[in-house]
Amino acid sequence: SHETGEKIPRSFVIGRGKLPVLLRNLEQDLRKLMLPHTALHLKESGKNTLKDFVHVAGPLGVSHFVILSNTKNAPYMKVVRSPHGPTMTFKVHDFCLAADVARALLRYRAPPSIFKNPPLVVLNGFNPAEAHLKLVTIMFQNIFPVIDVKKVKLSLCQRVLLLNYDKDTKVIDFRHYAISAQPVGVSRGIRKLVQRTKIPDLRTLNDVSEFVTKSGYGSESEAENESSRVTLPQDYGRGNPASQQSAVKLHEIGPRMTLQLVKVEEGLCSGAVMFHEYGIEENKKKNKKKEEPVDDMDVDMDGEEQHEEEEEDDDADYYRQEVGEEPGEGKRNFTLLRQVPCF
Amino acid sequence: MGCLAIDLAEIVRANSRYFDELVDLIPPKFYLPADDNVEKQWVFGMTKREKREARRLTKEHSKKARRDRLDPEKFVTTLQVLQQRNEVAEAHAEKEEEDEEAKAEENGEGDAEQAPVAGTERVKSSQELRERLHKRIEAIRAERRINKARDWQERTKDASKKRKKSENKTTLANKRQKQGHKETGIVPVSSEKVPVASDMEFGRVKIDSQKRTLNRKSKEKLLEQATKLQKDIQDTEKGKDVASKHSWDAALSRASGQKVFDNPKLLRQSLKREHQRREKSAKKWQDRHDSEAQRAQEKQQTRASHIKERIDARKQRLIAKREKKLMRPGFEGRKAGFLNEAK
Repeated sequence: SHETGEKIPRSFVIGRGKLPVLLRNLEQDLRKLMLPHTALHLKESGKNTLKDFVHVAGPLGVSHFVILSNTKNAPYMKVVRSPHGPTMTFKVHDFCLAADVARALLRYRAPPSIFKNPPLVVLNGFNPAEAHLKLVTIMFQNIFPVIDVKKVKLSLCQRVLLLNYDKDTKVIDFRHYAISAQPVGVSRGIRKLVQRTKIPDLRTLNDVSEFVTKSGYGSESEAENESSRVTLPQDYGRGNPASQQSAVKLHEIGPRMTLQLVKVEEGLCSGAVMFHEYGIEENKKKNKKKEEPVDDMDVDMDGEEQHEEEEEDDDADYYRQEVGEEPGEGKRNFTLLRQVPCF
Repeated sequence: MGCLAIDLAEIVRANSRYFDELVDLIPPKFYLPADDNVEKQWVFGMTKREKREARRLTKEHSKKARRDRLDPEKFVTTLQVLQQRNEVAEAHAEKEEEDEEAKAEENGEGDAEQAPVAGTERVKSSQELRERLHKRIEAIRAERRINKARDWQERTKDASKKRKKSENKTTLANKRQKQGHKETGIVPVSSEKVPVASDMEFGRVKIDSQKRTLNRKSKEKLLEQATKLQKDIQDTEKGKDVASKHSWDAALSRASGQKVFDNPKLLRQSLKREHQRREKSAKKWQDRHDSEAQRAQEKQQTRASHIKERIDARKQRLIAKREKKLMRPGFEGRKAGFLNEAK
């Protein structure tokens, strides 16, 4: 970027295997989340292997992949650093689409202008003493561009991605919000007049003073959050000038997910398994399988080659482990079990 | 009795104030009687032109009145309107009185009483005026002295403040701070410190532009290091520890965007590619260099031949021109001599 002089990390959000409609929608929501530095209308066909994406990513400057895949048990999401980087595999326990959130909220506001700038990211509860959690924080911090504190415009920080780790259940909550600021200490009528472009309807009023004093001083929720009040260092939208107090409000947009980190691998969906939720020893068979092919295969330009069979083996092993039966035995193979939307 | 009188006056004043405030709350339109000076126009007796004129005037008046009503600078309370009207009425009354007096004087009635009263009033008033003037001058002088004292105090305070500031400014840390805070950005207001939970992390933020990596090791050195690492990993004693430590370090640095060169195969490939590139470019240069002398010679040859051609052509042209003059009928060519001449 011009401001920081560092490379802007770009990402691809892709699906592997045949995904049901809901997961395809989730993939689209994740693409919107990663805007603007992602390919919103990326066309992927079934014949594309991971190797193709890696080859294309180099010249385009794409550094991260987010890969969604599906098994009978649960969908999985992999976050990968592109050429040789580590792979983190998350199991998606539950998810909600942006459309579900929109239907659940009274006033869902996600204007397209907020997707013109990358989101901020906040991580909570990731204890840096544990190596895998530290890796997760670093990965998510580097998927989005660096912010130059001195030169950034506050009004361009309009979205935020929240990740919360619960160490008892080892589950990560993934939430996506839009940020808005409201001036503090003015009545609701005046606040709305200043922040919106709409001209108020004074038909029923006798005098302008009624308009000012009608809705009382201060809104109902003002007493609530003293901690959400900040003194703005820069102007933030209409009605929130610099060095004035404003209350910061978050509105949920975008998908919700409950993730659990299952696996961390050294290479791009290959290489040694550095961390496994259910223990590396139990999954040593997989490790051995992975190491041999890497040495024997013909080394490509980047020294990496992905076989489709390996991916399927991976999924098949997961299937076997999670479900306890061979893939293809059950009645309906590879269906999505989506749970009730979480609120 | 005297005390009672004072209280009564106070009470009366308080009541009058209260009523004044009440009156102010009522818009003048409802409180004051309609202005009788405004004549009601007798519409039926007017011609078309007069009616048109009247309509236009009323429109203008109403517009002006509306603008004045809403203009905050021209805002008059009910009481003020009342006072204005009273003044106008008084002026009218006085004028009428004067007219009456003039008429009466004309008629021959003179009031001797008024003149001396007026005279004494005038004398009294001039004395009073002089006293008032003196008092006023004294008051202004006193104020000036007080202001001077206050200003002097403030000036000394400012001077001490400035001295303190200049002391602070000279320290190096403050100089650096000043440099850092030159651009406006999200530098947090120092008075507010938002309490942040200890395990909360945010996106990557660039505060100070650090120097770029000082030395990038040459590829040969990197290759040495990589092969050494591989050897250590093969070594069975501490191999596992080395391997796991290295893989975590590599994963963290790759996730944060730094390149890790630990694969000797890839390094060897890249060395080979660079070597080939250098050879190719060296060969190109050599070819160019060798063929240069030859090409220069060729060019000179062609140039010389062209010049020669031009000269020859010119000579031919001149000869042809000369010969053309002698192509008279009967005389082809030059004089060959007499037939009898001894040869």
